[in-house]
Amino acid sequence: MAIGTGNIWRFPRIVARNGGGAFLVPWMAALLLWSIPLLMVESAIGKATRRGTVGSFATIMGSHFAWMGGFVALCTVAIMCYYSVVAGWCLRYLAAAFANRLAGADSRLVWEAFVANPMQQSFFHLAAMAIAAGIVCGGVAKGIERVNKVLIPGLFVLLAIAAVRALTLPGAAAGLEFFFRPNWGTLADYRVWLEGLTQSAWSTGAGWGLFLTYAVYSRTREDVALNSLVVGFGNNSASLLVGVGLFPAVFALAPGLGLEPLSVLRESGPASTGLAFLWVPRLFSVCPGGRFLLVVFFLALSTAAITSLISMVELATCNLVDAGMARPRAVMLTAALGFLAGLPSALHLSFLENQDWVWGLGLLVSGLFFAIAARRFGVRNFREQLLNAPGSGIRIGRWWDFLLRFFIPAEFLLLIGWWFYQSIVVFEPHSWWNPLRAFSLGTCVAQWALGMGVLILLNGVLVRRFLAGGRAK
Amino acid sequence: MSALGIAMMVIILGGVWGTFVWLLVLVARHEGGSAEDNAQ
Repeated sequence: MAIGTGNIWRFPRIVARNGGGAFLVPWMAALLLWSIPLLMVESAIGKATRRGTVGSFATIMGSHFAWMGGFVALCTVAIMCYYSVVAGWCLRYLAAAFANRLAGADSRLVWEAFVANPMQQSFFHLAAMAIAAGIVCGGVAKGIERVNKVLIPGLFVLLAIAAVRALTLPGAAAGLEFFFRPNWGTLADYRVWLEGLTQSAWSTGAGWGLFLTYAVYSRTREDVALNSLVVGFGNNSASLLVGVGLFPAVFALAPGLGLEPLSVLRESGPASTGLAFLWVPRLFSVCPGGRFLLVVFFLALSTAAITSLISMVELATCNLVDAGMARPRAVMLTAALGFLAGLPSALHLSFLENQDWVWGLGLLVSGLFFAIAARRFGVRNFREQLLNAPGSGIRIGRWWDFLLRFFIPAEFLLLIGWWFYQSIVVFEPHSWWNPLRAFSLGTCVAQWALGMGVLILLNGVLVRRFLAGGRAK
Repeated sequence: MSALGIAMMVIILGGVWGTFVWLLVLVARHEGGSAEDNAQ
């Protein structure tokens, strides 16, 4: 579930922007000091309360705090709406790769023709949402678990095939050299550390509430600490596998097209589409076996996108089931609302970029809420009662208490404080407050405040519906 | 590739992939134990 588009198209771009090999150090540190501890909190809360995010926060922290779980759900559901659009792009390109319409074509024209066609955009957005909803409708054990047992190992196999093919290209070693050889000087730049943290949080899913949701259905003797470690290291293993395939491929193929490899990797493009949708089709189409490689790449990307989308649909469904709605109806409602709310992102890239900016950063707030929940429960009690429960395969030590009590809140404050400062003083000194600008501080704060304000006002209703109401089957 | 690049590659890939495989083995053992417990 944690393996998604963040591994395949976000990770290589962030590595290239942040000095190559040296970036791997803060990225690994963030896994151990932010993502894994928060994944443990999420999973333990879900397993202990057996409720979705709203009911879980109300149970763990008290009924006055149901809105915090509502905000976690709001962030993830808002992401779900535009993530389905991105998953639709992956499906569209997979279909084009199968039909051999990418190799030899001008990838920029292909992309521009696609985004200029609202019917196609809407159709593939609907297709992605329908596939995810269909799988979620089957339930966790019969639907999601069964599908993911095939899709996730299959994804690793596809990535391994792509890596082997890329490593056998002439000139591939230069890509490996860039990916692994550290330039220690870049570690003096604090932005590299901040990028490491945001990449780890985005990619592992820490703070999204997705692991809380799956833990609701876990067995009593499930080892949440061990599972969180597997998810965290599995996510980073997949990212490394992508890097081992993509960096050598770009370094081997770009010079033949008169392109500079690093500029190819760093170019973001509209809605961060640069590497996956503009460059990969162009690069792979000129190498031997390129058509096969394109199909493998977009199959892996589509698989990763759909598995992540499934988790988001399940999160919304789980909360609606808590409120007493029957599961099939909850899935249908989630998919229908997700499709409708995602249409503006499908039809206007600027809207999608704004939503990605606002709710992607909102995940850091969600992560802080989970840390606050553990603190309110009592960090030591949380560890002893919920993490080191009977049957746990590994025991979590006091280091975890320190991370939750001090380190994670300090990380959040540093990150947010730095961002506020940069926005107000450096990036947009005259328009940082403007909520109508796509990437302003003001648009984030306004949308978060609106969401939180409504949720706080409705806190009593949330408690009655999501906590006191009977959980539907 | 430089010696430093190769060394970093071995350390990072070995560390992350090695830990991941080790954790998967732990999960398999843990699940095996649970199945026995469930059978009892």
